[in-house]
Amino acid sequence: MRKTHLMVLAMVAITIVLAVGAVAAYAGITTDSQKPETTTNAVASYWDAAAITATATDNEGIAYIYHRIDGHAVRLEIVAGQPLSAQVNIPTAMDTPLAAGAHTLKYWAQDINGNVEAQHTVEFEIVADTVKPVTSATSVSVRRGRTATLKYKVADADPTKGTATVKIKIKNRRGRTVKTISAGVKNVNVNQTAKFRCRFAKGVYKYYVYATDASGNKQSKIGYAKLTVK
Amino acid sequence: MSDNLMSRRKFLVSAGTVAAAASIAGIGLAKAAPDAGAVGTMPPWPYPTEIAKQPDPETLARRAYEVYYSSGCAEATWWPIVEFLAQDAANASTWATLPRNVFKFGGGGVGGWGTLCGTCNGSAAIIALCGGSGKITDEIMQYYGETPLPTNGIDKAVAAGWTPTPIAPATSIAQPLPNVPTSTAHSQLCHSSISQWTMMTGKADGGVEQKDRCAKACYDMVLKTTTLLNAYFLNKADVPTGALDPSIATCQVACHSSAKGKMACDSCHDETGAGPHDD
Repeated sequence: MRKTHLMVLAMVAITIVLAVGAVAAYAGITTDSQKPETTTNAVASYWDAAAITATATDNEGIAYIYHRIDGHAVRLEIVAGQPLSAQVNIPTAMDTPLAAGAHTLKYWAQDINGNVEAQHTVEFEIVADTVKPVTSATSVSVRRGRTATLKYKVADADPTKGTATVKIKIKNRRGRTVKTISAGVKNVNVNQTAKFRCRFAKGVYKYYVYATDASGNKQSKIGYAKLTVK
Repeated sequence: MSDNLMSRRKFLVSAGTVAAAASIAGIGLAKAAPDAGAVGTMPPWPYPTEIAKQPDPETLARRAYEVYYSSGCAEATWWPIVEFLAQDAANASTWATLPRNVFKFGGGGVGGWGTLCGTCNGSAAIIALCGGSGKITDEIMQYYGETPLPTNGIDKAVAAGWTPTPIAPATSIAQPLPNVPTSTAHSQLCHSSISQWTMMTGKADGGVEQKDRCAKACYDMVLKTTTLLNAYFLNKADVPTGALDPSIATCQVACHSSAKGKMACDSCHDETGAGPHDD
């Protein structure tokens, strides 16, 4: 076989391969006009950071999921495998970290046949609690050997997650801690009590209330009061 | 179709005739300039008003894809329509006088400056040359800014068996990449459009994917422009009535009553909406 014949054969083969490839790449493009649909599980408000899942579905297959936060660059998620449904978790590593405050998310998808969905918009807010709680206590007395009831309150202004982890230290006149009570997680902004069997010697003590709110803020002011053992 | 309607020889003959005429008349060329219209016909130039004679938008759009790879986006949007109209013998003194590559300057937002997208530039020129309504220009500009481009409409042509033909002297041309990502520029500027696209795709400006995007944008813009012109010249009451971007009205009402332009304000300015601001 001549060299020119081989070249012609090779060109024909390449053309066939390209044509088959083109048909495969464009399968369904002339008949599919249905746009994909994307939804999110976004809620109005998030503590500290947003975690939104966008789910795109299509009758032929999803190719791309797009999103854009606060008018910044559009982020593109390339979906492999042409699935009928695909998800992306937002914000992605590509997004600028979101500060506390109001944000706008736009999201949409494109199917494997080039149909592009109209953009959807959802507003959400990220709330960050940076306010430190303040504790207070009320003076109490107890007979030695009886149950002492310490009275305290953790005040935590909005925004607050509603709880704080409380620890109480009881100190003698010299300032030495004679007992520590881990009160656990307590609701804030309501009166609370902590009870224990008091076996201290008669005298006047002080108890100090420490609190760390659910966002990790430690109390700015330590509340304290007298515990009188009779 | 001819790739160069005015041959070098024809140009030299025409130029020589004009120069000789000027010399005989005893006037300088500089003085003759104001009367230059006498050697040609001032626009608006004819556009077919019968369906049978009007261009097929799809055919010209495919041609735009091909021209892009030889002469850039502005020429690609301008030349296919000129080339078609120049074929009519009745247009010998109008469309047929235009040489190829006049709009090559508009590529990359005019010489690579990233200003007006060449597809907008080329389309607006055609609309003006044939006396189309300014509303068509508005519609084209809005279409470019607010449509996810490229539409990948060219994929249907490829699916139907079309393959682009290189324009000489090129011997090869890139095949359209199937179903590429789309982006809405919200701007008519080359810089904004391409920057957004490169940020989204992570692809480089000047790369294969960017050229593919822009070649397909030429396809989309010629398809749109030709479709609108066909409709308008069939019935001049068929004028697009699309609204401009809402940010324009908002900003002008709030502060900038004398602001110039029809571009979306928030395509460049962050601070839009009611209320006072610093700038």
